Amino acid sequence: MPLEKASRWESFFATMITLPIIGHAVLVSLLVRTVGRDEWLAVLITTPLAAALVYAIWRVRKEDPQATFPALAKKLLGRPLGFVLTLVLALYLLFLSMSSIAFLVDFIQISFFPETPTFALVLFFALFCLYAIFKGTKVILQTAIVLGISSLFTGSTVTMMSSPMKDFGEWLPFLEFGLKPVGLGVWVVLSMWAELLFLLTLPFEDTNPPVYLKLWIISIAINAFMTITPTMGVISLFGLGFASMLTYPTEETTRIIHLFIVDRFDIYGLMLMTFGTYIRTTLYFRLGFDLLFPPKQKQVRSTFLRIVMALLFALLAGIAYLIAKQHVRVEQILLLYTLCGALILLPFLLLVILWIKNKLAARQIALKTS
Amino acid sequence: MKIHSLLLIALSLLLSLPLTGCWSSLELRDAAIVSGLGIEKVKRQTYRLTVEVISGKNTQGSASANKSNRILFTKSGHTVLSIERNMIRDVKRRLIFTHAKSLVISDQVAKEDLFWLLDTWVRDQQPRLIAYLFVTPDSVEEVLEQSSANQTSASAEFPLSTGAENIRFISNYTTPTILEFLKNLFEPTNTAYLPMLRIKSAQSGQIVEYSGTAVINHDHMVGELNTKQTQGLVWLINKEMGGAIDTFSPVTHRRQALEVTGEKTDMHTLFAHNRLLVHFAVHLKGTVAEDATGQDMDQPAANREMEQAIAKQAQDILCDTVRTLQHQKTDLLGVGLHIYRTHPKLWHKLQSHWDEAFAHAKITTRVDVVIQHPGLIRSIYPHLPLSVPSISLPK
Repeated sequence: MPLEKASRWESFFATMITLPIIGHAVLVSLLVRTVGRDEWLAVLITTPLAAALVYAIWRVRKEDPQATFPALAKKLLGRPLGFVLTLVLALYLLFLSMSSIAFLVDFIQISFFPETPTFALVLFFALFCLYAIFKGTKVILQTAIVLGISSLFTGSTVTMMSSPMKDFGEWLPFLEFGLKPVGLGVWVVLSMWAELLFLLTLPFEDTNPPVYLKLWIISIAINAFMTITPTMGVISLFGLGFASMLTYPTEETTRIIHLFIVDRFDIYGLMLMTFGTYIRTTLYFRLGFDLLFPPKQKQVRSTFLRIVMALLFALLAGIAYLIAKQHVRVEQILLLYTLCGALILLPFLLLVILWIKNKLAARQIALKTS
Repeated sequence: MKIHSLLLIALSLLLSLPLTGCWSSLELRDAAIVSGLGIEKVKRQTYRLTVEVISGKNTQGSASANKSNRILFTKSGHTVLSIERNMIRDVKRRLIFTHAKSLVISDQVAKEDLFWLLDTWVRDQQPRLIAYLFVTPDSVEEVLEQSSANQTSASAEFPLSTGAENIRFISNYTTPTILEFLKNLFEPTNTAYLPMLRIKSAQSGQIVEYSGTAVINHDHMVGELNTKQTQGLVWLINKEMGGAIDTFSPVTHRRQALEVTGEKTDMHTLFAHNRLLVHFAVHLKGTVAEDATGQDMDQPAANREMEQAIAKQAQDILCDTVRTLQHQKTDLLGVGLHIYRTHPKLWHKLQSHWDEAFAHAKITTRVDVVIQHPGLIRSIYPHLPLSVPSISLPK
C-alpha cells in the first residue's frame, strides 16, 4: 500500500473529531466524580502541557517530515529501541481503536437500544469501519474534515439551547476539597491529550511544517474549551450531586432538550458520538496497522495485507464486544485508558534524544572543521 | 473492476437495510402510550400503579366528544418493573413511557418511600426527566380520572403537565420538573418541594386543582404549604414568572389588584453570635389590573398608596411562609445552599445541624413594589374630574 501523508487541515480536523469524543462523552462521568466543579481548572492546567506536547511532536516530526514513524524512530533510537517504541505506539493506537468501539456500543445500549444484542451493534459498526480501513488513512482523514466541520458548528447549539436551564451558581464553591481532586483531574485529562501521539505517525504532506504547529495549537485551545464546557455544563444543569450519579451525563443533557418537532435532542448526541467514534476507530486502527506493517513507497495493493488487516480488526472488534457486554468492564477499560496517559512523556523523551544527537553532531562538525 | 463495483453496491444495500428500523422496533398498534402515572401505597412493600393510556379512539362529533381519549389501568405489586410488565396482561400492549409527562404520588408514598418510582424512572431510557411530579392527599386514581374531565381536546391528553407549563400566568403553585426536584434533593441541604393536587367539588362536577406545595426534607415529605404560602415561596426563591396580587386599600378599603410582570429577590446572610441572620429583599414590578378606589393612577400619590398596600400584603404572605418553613425545619429558601457556595467552611460547621440552625435563624423580609403603568385607562370610574396632571419628581 502506498505511503499516505496528511495535509495540515486533515491533521487539524482529525484532532477536532477524535479527542472530543473522549472529552465530551466518555470521560465526563469520571471527571465529575473525581474532580467535580474544579474540572475547568484541571483542563486549564493541562492545556499548556498539551501545547508543549504538540510542539515536541511537531519538532520530532520536522526532523524528517516525509518519513514513516518506524523509520524516524530507527533514526533516533536505533533499530532495537526504535522497534520497541514503534510496537508500543502501535499497540496503544490499536487499544484506542478497540476501546472506541466498546465505548460507543456501551453508550448506545444504555441510552438507546437496551434490547438490541451487543453483537448486532458491534458487527454493524465494524462492517462500516472495515470499509473505511480498506480505503486508507487519506480517505479517513478527508472524511474527518467533513464530519469535523459539522460537529464544530452544531456542537454549540446544544450549549445555546441548554443555557436557560443552567444554574451557574453550581460552579461554587471553588476548590471545596482542596487541590488533590484537581491533581487527579489533571492526570485524567492528560490521558486524553496523550491521544495526540497519533500525530507522530502522520507524515507531513505540506512542505511548510510551521503551519502544522499553528493549527495544532489552535486545535488544543478549541479542544480544551470543548472539554470544559460539557462537564461544567452538566454540573450547571444537574448540580454536582445528581450529575455524579449519571452514567453518561452529557447525553442526559441532550435528552432534556427538545427542538420544535424533535422531541428529544439526544439523537444528536448519538449522531456525534457515532461520527467521532467512526473516525477514531478507523484512523487509529489504520495508523496502528501501518506501524506494524509499514507501507513502502511503491508497493502495490496486497491482498495478503488486506486479509491480515481484516483479521486483526475482527480480533479487536471481538475484544470490544466482550468488553461492551458489561458496563463494569467498560469502566475498567476507561481506567486503563487513563493509565495510558503516561505515554505523554514519549515525545518529550524523543525531543531530548534529538537535541542530544544534534548537539553531538554539531560538536563533531566543529571538531572536524577545527 | 465490474465485480468490485457490484460487490460495493451489494455491500451498500446490505448495510443500508438495517438503517430502516431498529432491532427491537415496536409498531404503534402494539404500543400503549402512557401520558401519566399514579402511585399509591397499598400495604408494606406493596404499591398500586395507575397508568393513563392514550386510547387513540376518534370521539369527534360523538356524544362523548368532551371526554378525553384516555383509559386508566391499575395494578399492584412490589416493584415498578414487575407491575408495569404485568400490566401488559390487561392492556394487551407494551407500555411506552416516552411521552409520560406527569406522575402523581399519594402523600403516603411521599412521606414513606419517595424514591420507589423515581429509581426506575431515572434508570430507564424511556421516561423523561422533564416530566412533572405531583403529590396528592386524595385518591390517585380519581385525580388522574378527573384531571382531564371538562378539558378541551388540546390539553385532554396531558392536562396536568399542560397546566404546569402555564405557570407564567399564575404564581401560587410551583412546577419543578423531576430534574429540578432531584437536583434540589441532591444539594447539600437535601430539601425539595413538589406541587400538590386536590380534588374540588364544582358545579360541573369534580375538578382537580393545583393546591399547595409538599415540603420534602431528607427524602420524605414533612409538611405542606397552602396556596398563599406557596406564593411566598415562589417569590423567595425567585421563581415568579407572572401572577397577581390583590389587596384592599387601607384608605378607601376598596379592592386593588396588581398583575405581576417581574420579580427579583436578593438574599443576604450573616452569621453572628452563633446565630444566623438572613434578609430577603423582594422587588416586585407590575401593572394595575384592577383599582376600585377610583383614584387617578397617573398620580404619584395614588401609585405610592397602591404600591404600599400591595407591599404590605406581600410582606404578610412572606412572613407566613417563612414562619411555616422554620416550624417545619426545612430550608426551601436556598439559604443553606447560598452559604455552602459562598462560605463553604461555615457550611461544613453548620451542616450536621442545619435544620435546627435554619429553624432558629432570624429571617427578615422587605418588599418593594413598583407599578409600571395603569394600563389603557387611568380609572374606570367616571367621576374623575378633568384636570392638568401634576408633575412630580420620580422617587
